[in-house]
Amino acid sequence: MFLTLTGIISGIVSGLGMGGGTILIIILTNFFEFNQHTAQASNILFFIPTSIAAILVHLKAKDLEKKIILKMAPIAVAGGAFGAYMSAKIPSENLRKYFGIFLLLIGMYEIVKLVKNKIQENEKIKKQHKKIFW
Amino acid sequence: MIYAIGAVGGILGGLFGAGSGLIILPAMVSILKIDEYKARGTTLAVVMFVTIISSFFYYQNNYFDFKIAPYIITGGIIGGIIGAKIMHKIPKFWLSLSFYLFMIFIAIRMIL
Repeated sequence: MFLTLTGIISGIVSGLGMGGGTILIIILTNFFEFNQHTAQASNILFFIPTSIAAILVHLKAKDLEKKIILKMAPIAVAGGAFGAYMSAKIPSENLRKYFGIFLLLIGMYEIVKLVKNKIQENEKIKKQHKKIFW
Repeated sequence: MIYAIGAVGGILGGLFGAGSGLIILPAMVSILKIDEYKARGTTLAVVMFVTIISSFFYYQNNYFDFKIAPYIITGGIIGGIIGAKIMHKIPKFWLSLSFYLFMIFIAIRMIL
């Protein structure tokens, strides 16, 4: 029951495009006491079926940059194999810390980006107001 | 540049079983100048390949828990539909801000 709820939350966050995978791992490790490797593996199992539908929608709408996929995917797959191989060599407690550092960096980057965009938007609105006023 | 983005995204994706999208998507939009909607689909497709290759390694090391997966996946499908529907109806700024603040809080807890 709670696991399904976790899935729902992660699904919503994915649908919003904010990193559903990270939130799934966060919940599984912090609230269900999963070890880091099992939580990560659960996200992999979660991602494949839930993303196929989204990819098909993009494919149908011809919204995929196929050239970029063809260039990027082979390198990304090689990187993924290397990363997954390394992951298995790292003890779960350490991996949990590294994941924390990764989250910290992502969180800070996204907040800076959000605030920057918000300021730019406000400037634009101000400018438009000025134009109307004059 | 395309190769560098793929390499970094791939390594992190394999290492953490998540997060390659969080690297590849913003990089595609800001560096490769692909429009955000197209970049989303393109990112998903690249991440799918990374996930498939990673799953071999995770399977080999017996990290998968197939008993709990169906519950999470069922929830994920329901949540995905809800998320896509409410996407344009919510105040994205405050939601995102609180989400990432929560992320930072948890991150610090995980590091300590």
